[in-house]
Amino acid sequence: MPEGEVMERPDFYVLARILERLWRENAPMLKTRLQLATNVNYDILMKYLAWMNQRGFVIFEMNAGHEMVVLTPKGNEVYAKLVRTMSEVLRSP
Amino acid sequence: MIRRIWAYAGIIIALAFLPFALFYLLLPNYFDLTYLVPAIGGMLVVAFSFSIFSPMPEGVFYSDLALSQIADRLRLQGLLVKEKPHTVTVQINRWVGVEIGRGKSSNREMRWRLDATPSSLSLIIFSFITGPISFINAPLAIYLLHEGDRYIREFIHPALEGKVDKHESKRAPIKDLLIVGLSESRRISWEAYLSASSAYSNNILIVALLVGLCGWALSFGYLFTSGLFEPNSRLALSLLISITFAIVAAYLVGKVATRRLKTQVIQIKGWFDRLDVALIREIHNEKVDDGTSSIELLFDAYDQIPIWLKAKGKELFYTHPAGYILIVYLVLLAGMTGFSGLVSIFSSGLNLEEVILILLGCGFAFGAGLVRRELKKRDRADDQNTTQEFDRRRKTLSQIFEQEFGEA
Repeated sequence: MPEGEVMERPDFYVLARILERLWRENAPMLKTRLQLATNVNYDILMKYLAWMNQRGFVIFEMNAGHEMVVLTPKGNEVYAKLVRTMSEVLRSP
Repeated sequence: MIRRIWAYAGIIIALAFLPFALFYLLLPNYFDLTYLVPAIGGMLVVAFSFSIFSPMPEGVFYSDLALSQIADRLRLQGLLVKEKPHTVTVQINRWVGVEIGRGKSSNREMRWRLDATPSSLSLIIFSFITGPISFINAPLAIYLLHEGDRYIREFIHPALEGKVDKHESKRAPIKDLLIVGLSESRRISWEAYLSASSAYSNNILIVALLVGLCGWALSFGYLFTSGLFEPNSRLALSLLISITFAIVAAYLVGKVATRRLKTQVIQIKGWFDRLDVALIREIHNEKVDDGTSSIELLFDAYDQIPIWLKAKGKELFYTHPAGYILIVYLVLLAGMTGFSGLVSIFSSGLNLEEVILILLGCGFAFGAGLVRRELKKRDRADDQNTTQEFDRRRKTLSQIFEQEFGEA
């Protein structure tokens, strides 16, 4: 899969995993490091990052010749909303 | 965690001892009445210890929000916490739990009382059934009360004093929310695991008891009617045969049940372990770079919850502990009266006294069946409500995902 190609239907699990890892890092992260940390196939990760970038969840920035991934405030808010929703859903029924 | 109602189990047992005591008063030759004294005494101390409410130390006042924040703070300490309307129960360790809730005298008063854990409740029931050593329930209950009080004073109060936020607008940080979600999933999986493993061992025990009882009745009847062996050794021999039958049946059923029930028990325990590890990791702020994700684990746990709730609802010991004790008590009475009646029939023939004993035994067994049926009926209604609530939550979750991720 060519880098940057956008997928049609993302998997919530993979999406949440990437968001969580970027949220934990709280700093720009190398794509290759993000790939290792999330344990997602590199090509698939690129599709997800393109999709997330399109929606403003992440941005890419260059640092010493390397492209880094940064979680935006919107991406942070989406992750917070996911966690908050899951936390509320899982409370004593 | 055991439900609040269980605290009155001790009182129910103590009251239920009345016919038991009368029964042995009518048949003084079978047991000495003093047998009952330690059992009743121990259970009364248990009932007292688990029923009294104590005020929380000064500086902590009741409100629904304060209680919810207390629950979250205790979760952040990695404890098993369960929230119910106006109460929070927390398991401090394997033996001690406390229930914190609203006082009755004032809307702002907060108070606590001792709550049983599955381990302490099992020990209390076991020592109660053994009879002569049941006096240990008294020092045990006092020890549990002391431990509960110590924990409230030394750990819970300092953690809460002056820290309860007055306004909900202050959103909990993401990490705290992750911990709350993991803690809740871990608790539900733990309750399901306890219930499923208990159902597994109970099934084996019930079959062993039934087979043992049938084996005893058949061998006892045969030995008396055939005239084989000395009269004194017939009872002992029939008991030996019944125990052998029971052990063989338990082994065979255990083998079959292992394939069916144990698989589920192992699976649920696996989930509990995963959630426990993730919870500890979040509490201690440990970093991992192996693709492990807490939010993903919460998604997985959410999918498992219907299975866990179903497993949890199977075992009356956890859903209705007081009712369970009542059933055990009635079955015990049924067995003892039936046993006494059968022994009398074989030794002195059939007459009115034996018929009454047998009928009494059948009555107790019927009563146990009725109680069980009623409790199961309530469980089914609860299951239905819980399923509806989860369906509602599932729809809400889908709507939020649709809203956030569009076509996803």
